[in-house]
Amino acid sequence: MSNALLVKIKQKLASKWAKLAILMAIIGPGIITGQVDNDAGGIATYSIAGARFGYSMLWTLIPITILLVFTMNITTKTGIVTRLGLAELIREKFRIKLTLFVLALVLVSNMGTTISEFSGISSAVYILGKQIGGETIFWTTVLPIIGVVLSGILAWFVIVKGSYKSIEKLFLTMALFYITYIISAFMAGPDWSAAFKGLLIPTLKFDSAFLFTTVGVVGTTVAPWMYFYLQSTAIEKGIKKEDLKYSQIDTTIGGIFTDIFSFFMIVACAATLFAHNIPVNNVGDIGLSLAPLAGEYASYLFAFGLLNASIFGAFILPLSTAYIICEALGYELGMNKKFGEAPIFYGIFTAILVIGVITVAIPGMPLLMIMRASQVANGLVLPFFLYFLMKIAQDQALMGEYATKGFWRIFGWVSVWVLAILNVALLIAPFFVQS
Amino acid sequence: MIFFAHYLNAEVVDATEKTIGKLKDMIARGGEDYPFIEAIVVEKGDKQMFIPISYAENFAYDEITLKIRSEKIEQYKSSLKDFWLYRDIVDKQIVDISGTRVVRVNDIQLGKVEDRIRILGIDMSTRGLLRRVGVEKWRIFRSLEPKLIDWKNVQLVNGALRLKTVSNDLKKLHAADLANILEELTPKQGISLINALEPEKAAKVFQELNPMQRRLLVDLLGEDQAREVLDNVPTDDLADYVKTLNLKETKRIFSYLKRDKRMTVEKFIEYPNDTAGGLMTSDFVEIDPDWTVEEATTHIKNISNKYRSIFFVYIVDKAGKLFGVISARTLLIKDPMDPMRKIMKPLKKIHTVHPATDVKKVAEIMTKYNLFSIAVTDKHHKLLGIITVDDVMRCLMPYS
Repeated sequence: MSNALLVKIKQKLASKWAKLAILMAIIGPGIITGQVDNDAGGIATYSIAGARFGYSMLWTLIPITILLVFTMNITTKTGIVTRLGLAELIREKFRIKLTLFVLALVLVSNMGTTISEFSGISSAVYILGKQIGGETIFWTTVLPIIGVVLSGILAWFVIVKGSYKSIEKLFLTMALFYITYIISAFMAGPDWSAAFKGLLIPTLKFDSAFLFTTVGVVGTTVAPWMYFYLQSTAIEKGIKKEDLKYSQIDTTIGGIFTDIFSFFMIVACAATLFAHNIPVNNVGDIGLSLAPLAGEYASYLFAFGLLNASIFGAFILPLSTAYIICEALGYELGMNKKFGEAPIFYGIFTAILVIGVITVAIPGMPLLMIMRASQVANGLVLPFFLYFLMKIAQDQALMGEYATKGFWRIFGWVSVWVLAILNVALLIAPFFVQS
Repeated sequence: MIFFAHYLNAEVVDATEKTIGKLKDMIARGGEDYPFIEAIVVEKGDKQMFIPISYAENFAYDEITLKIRSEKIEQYKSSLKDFWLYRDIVDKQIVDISGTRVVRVNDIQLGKVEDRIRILGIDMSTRGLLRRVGVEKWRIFRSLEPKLIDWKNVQLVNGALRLKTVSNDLKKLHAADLANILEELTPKQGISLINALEPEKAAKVFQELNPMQRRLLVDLLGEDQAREVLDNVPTDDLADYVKTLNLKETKRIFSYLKRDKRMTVEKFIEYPNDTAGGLMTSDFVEIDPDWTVEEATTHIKNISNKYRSIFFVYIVDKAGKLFGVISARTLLIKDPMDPMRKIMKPLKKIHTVHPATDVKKVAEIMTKYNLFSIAVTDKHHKLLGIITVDDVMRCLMPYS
């Protein structure tokens, strides 16, 4: 071994930060995307699932995790091999009309999801405000609006003025705060043996409300927009084919942690609200009902976790939408560009942010209806999107030796069809079930 | 203005008004300034026909009429030089040479020039998108203008074949612009572009990339090409690059380098980035103290293509000890028979720094004495390398 190599080894060993840097160089996109998956909508769905059905729905998390990790893996792989964004690949392979169709659906669904993130921020501030200040106009109405507007301004400045590196660090730090859900779950004093039984032994009730919530849990976990985001950031990070396995570790950890947090969210609500048979309809109810059952701090933690997740989602969703549209239509894009260099990119981002803030900040807007519509759009776009994803991932001409084949290809297509059917069920269920 | 999108899916009928199928693509032959359309691709069900455009009598947007009966059509035989408009260009990326960037094609502008239908340029505007979807004529979109790129400034990048004919205008772009273009291309396209360049130019492009992109590029190039490109990269840049690599990659890069180059790089790596040693380059011209001006200038002429710039030459003895320095200007104006010893600025009159000197200190000295470059020596006055003003600037303002 040459002298210089020895010096290099010494330098490397001397600097623990350098080692951390190598790890951090690859880790990021998967973990961030996974955590954003537990956004305001996710928290609402999981909490309500736990509050209404106790531990009996936990088992669905296992197949969901496998599916989530698999789809995230093929997405990053496609990005790293082709170095094209998902939207660009759809444009090249499926042409302009289908691309515009997908973009329209993604725009509507992301718009709705952004609104639900801001309404999550509003709910979180409401829970905190009511606990601290009591039932007065300022603490329960004015403060949530201030919170929403400030978060919107914060998101705009961070994304427009920051670079990818600084933004990623912020995101990774925010991902740490999901730990509050684990603490909440422990504070609730759950029956752990019942929880693990619920996780490992599948329960199927042919009760329409149960099926409906199951579909909701799947739908909130596998959301189309996150794959576009994941693929774009994997490219922007410049991960090499050789480092594919590290990148897959990142996505695998990201996917598994997402569902670990979901597990604790469901457990926390099952141990308290379900055990005491308290009816809940929204996240505000849940946060406030936790206080008498698990202590004041459990309620604070819940609200804080919700606030963090919602702000996180409010950062990423408008950004992701801007990425998708600019990529597919060939406009300048990227967080490393300045406003003037990529006006359409930042324009879309700003517009979605502003619409999100205004819709939630103005009292009396039909928020529930808007969120419902965005879920419908999400459900519509998912089967199309997964179909595109599989078609691209198995394309020999594009992917070469990295094309998805064998068992995973069959697994992928089975998942596509199962999800398509589940989503159709989600769409038509409201006509048959009173939820 | 006429565009490809106008014709896509147009009905094609023969002389007896019998429908042959729908237009799905056009075939053009490369090699000319404005390539002309040779044939149209017509599809009916699973059946695909290549109909020479010379059969077309009228070329209207909604219906193309042939002057011959469908049974008598002799199909066009495709050659390797051909490219297909829809398959290879529309919705794909191309390089806009005059704008030095990569753009996505929304539509292709056609026109009748010298009696043939030719490709005039590409449309990359929002209006082009709307045309594809068939809503271009709507009143609210009237104000949108097509943004056209002249075909002469277009470099096709799809498929290995296209990049075999890389335009000279593209090759002549500044390395920094080429690097920007490279970043936007897919790996396959990027590699073909690098392969089309001279190794010296490819090395310059390499130097313009950021560390992450350098790693990607070397990875994709494969051993032989990587050897060739890296051989042309100056040692200081190479050392900076190697510093960003892990052990395995470092070993591989070292195996690509020639022995003496590798040893110099190894020496450079040992110096931290923010010192004179980390900043210096070994790309300087050394001249024997006994040479005459004439001998020196002949030497410079022979080796000059290897160097980015030559402002000063360094007078160094056989053991590598620095004697003095001479500016290129002095060489120009002095008598051809003058020996170096006599006209050089001797060591004791010039400023030098040690490899461990801090970058800020180097910048200070260079600013104070208005130096264009400064020599880096060890304590025995052995010349290790030089630092030029652009290296200092890059260090103080990285990647801007």
